[in-house]
Amino acid sequence: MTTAMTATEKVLARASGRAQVRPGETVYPDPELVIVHDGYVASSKAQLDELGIPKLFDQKRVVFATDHAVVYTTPQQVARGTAIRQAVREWGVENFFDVGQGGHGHLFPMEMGMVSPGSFLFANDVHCTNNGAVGAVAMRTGTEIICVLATGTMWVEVPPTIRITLEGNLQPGVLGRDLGYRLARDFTNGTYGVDWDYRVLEFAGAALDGLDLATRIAICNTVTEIGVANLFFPPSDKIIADARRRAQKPFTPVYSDANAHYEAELRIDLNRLGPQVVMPGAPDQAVEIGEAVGRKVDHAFIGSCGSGMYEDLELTAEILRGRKVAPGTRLFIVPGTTASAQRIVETGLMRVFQDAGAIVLPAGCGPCTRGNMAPLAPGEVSISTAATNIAGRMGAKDADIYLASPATVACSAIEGRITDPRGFGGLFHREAA
Amino acid sequence: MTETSTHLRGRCHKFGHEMHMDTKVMPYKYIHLHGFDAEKLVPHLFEDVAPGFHERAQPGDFIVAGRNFAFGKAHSQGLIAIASLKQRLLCESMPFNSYRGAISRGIVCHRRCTGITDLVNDGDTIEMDFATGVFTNVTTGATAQFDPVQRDLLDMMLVGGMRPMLAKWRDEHIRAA
Repeated sequence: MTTAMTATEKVLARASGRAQVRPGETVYPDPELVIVHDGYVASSKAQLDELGIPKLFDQKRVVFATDHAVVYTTPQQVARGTAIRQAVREWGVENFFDVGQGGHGHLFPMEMGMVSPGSFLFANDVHCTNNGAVGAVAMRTGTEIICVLATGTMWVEVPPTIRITLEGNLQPGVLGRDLGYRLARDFTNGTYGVDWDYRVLEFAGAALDGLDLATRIAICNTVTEIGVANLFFPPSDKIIADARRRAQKPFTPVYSDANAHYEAELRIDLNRLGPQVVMPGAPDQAVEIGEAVGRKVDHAFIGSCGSGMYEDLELTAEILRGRKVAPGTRLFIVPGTTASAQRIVETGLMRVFQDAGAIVLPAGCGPCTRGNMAPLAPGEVSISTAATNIAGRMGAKDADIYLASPATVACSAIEGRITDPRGFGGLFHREAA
Repeated sequence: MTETSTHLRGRCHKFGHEMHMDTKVMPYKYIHLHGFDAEKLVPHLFEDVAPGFHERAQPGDFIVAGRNFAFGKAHSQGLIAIASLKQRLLCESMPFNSYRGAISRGIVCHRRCTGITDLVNDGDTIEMDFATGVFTNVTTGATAQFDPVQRDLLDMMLVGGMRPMLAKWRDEHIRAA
C-alpha cells in the first residue's frame, strides 16, 4: 500500500518506476528530456570521448540549448561553437538549438511544449528549477550531466518538501521577483526557522490562481540560488489549458495528495509584501525598496531566464511607453526566447523599447554570464533581473549589482536612480489583476 | 583511489562547525587563480584555519568536521584538493550539493555523523565502517552507531567517483557488447 506523497515525490516515483518514494531515498529516474546548455556540450563530448563512450543514451530525448554565449565575443567561444556543432553531428542530436534558435533553455522547452505539467527532466544548469512553474520537475546535474548523457540517469536523493501557502494578492507594483527575493532572504536569515538546503518549495493557496506562468517562473528563478532542490507550482486550469495547446505529446499533471507529508509549512501574506531590492554581493540580501531608493544607476537590464517571458516584456513596455531612459544610463532588454523576440516585433513593443532608447539584445542570458554581452566597468552600478548578483557576474568585480523586479528596473532606468514603481507615473495605482 | 574495504582506519584531523567553502575550506581567490588544477589547489586547502594541512595530511586520513561543512556556493575546488590528498570525510552535516560533489569526486564520506566532533581529538586514530555505520575511536575507545551509507553511493565513493564509475559502466555495457 502506498502512503500519501507530494507532487515532487509522485513525479520521481513515476519516473523511477516505483509506486512510492520517500524523502532521503535514492532513486534513478528515467527522464523525458535532458537539457544541456552551451557551456557543457563540448566539455561533455570531450569527457565521454576520453572515457570511450561514443553514444548518447537516447539522442531523441536530448536538447542542446544555446543561451549563455549567443553572440560569440571571444575566439574561445567561436571555437566552442564549432565543437558543439561537431558533437551534434557525431551524436546525431536532432533537438539542437543553435545560435539564434530557441533562446533560453530554461524557457523555450516549456513554451514549445517539450516540457509539460508532470514532466521529469534532467538539466545541467541550476536554474532548471524554472520548470517547476509549469508543474514539472527538473533536477540539476552540474558536471554529472555526462553520467545522464551516457547512462540515461543518475542518482537522485528524494528531497523533502516545504509547503508555502500564499494568502492575499500581489499588490500593484509588486511582482513575482519581489516575493522570490523576500523568500530567499527570509530562509537564509533564519526568519522561518527551517532548513532550506535541498528542499522543494511547493506553493499552495488561493493566491495561486492569479499567478500566471511568467510570475511563477520569476518566483522559481529568484529563490533557486540559496540552494533549494526545487520549486513546484501546482498547475492551474489556465496553465494546463495553455500547456495542452503547446504539448508535443500527451501529459498528466501531478498534484500532491491532500494528506501528503510536508517537512514544514509556511504562510506568506502577499498583501503585506512591497517591492524588494537585492543589495550587491548575494541574491539573498533583499531589503525593502525604500532602503535603496535614489542610488544612481549606470546599467540596467530586464529579461533572460527569470524575467524574459513575453508578459515581462509587455509590462516593461507599458512602463517605457512614451518615456526615455535617463541620460547616462543604459538599458538592455533580453527576451527569453526567439519566439518572444519575434512577438515583440509583431506587437510593436520593439518600437516602444527603441523609442525609449533601450537596446534589445538577442534571446538568451544577456549580460548575466560574466558580462559576455553588455558588461559593467569597474565602479559602475547595475540594477537588473539577473539570476544572481555575486561580484563579477557581469564583468568588473568591483561593480555593484542590485537585483529587482522588471517594474523596478524599468522605472529606475527611466529615472537613472533606483526608483519605487509604486506611484511611478500613476502606473501601479490600479488594483492588481 | 579505489578502496577495497568499507571498514577504514586513519588519523583524525578535527575541524569545527560552519566551515565555509569559500573562506575556510578553499579561499575564493584560488578558485580563479588555479581553476581545477589539483596540484596548485592542494597547498591552499584549509590554509586560513589549518596552515600546512597538506603537509600533515597522509593518504587515508580522516577530516572530521562539525555541522554545515563546506556550506556556501558549492564550488568544487576544495573538494578537488581533499580528493587529491586522498582524505576521507566525516561530518555532522553538509549541504547536499557539496555532498553530491564529494561523492562525484570519490571522497569516501558520511554527512550525518551527529555529535562526532565530541568523540574525537586531533591526531586520534579512528575507524569507520561506512557499510554498517559503526564508528570507533581507536585511541580513546569511544564508539558510535551512525546510519550506514547507502550501498550504491558507497560503491561510487570507493571506486573513486563518477568517472571511474562511468568507466566501469562502459566496460559492462559497451565493451562487453
